[in-house]
Amino acid sequence: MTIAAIPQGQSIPVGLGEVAVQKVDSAEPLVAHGLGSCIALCLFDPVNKVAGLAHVVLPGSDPQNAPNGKFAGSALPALLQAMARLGGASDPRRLQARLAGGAHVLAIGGTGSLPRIGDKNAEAVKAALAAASVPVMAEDCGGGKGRTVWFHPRDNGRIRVRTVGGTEVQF
Amino acid sequence: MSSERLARFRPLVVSALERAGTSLSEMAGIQIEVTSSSLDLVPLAQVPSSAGSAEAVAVGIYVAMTGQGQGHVLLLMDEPVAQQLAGALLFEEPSGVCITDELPASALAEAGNVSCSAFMNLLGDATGILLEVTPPAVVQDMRGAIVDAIVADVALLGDEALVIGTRFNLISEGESQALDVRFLVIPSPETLEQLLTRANALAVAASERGLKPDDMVVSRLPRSEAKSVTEVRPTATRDAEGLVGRTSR
Repeated sequence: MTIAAIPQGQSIPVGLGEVAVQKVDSAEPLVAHGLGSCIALCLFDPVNKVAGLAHVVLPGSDPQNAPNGKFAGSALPALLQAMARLGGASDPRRLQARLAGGAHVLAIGGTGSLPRIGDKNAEAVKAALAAASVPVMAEDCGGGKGRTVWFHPRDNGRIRVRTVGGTEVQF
Repeated sequence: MSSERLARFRPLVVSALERAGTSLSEMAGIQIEVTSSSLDLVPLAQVPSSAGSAEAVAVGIYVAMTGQGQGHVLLLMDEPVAQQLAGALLFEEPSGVCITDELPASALAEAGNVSCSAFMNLLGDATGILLEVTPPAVVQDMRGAIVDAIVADVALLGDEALVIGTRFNLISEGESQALDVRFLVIPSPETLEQLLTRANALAVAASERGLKPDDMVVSRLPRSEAKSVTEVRPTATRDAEGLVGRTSR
């Protein structure tokens, strides 16, 4: 399915380790540009129509156990906290998750190879969601290509994912 | 980290970038000059944007920094620039070059190897830290996605990265044409500290001898003068040419 691209400047970029939230009446979607090994963790509250996106960089947890979008183990509390400020549910079981990213873009041989952080990120994010009983509605993780992810609360939790040389899909 | 320490490191970095550009010129048989260089301590979240638009498709040539130092070096360029560089190396018209084909990709990898090794050699030579590079990888993807894995690796150790960036100009038949190649060098925090410490010691030693900051780069000095500067160096393995850093070739 090909979808009309969202013009630059009409979206809210979510940088590495950042968390952002939106309500259904907002005009601009959240977007994570050029994800490689990082994961876009997208949470949606279908009752209160609040959306949140965390740009997860690493598979571990925050060293101080604080909510932190940078780490897979700490991004969920950071999103819950931010979504609650916009009237989102505090019970994670009432949310829906979709995720994309975790690619292995720089696949090189030899001893200098970067660790497969993408795979570890995807596993850690899914483990954190499972531990909190958040249902994962859909995912597009792994592979060797970067992705850009758009997330708008008007889309009922569905996210748009674009890869280089591929079509844009919504799920 | 003080801006003064970074400022003292800068002449060394500029010289290393110029060496990288010269090596690329010699290899490609074209004249390439460094037009700008920057040295910035950047929050991790902003590292991808320092490489250009995160979603824009680019060609990346990546090598890892190994030896006594650790870090990442990445050359990023748009596809037409990569075609131009590969075309110059292969004596082909740039428009006919497909950079995902084996031969052009291999040529770009070699260009990355030569320029990154030249950069590391000068840096290693001046600081006495053995710096090596891994075999290069060539990838075409979104700029953000290429930088992502590097940032994640550095993010394990800190929240900031030193980003060294530059741009090259191609001089052809007397005319200058901008080659927008971003040369990103991101050392690990520990390696950065080592480099800064030794670069600062060299700068102080050069100052005490009445030399300009640029003169602290040993390989740009006559042997007799170089000796006086090398006295402040720690002991390091040296090859026949007196260089400490080595290529992976």
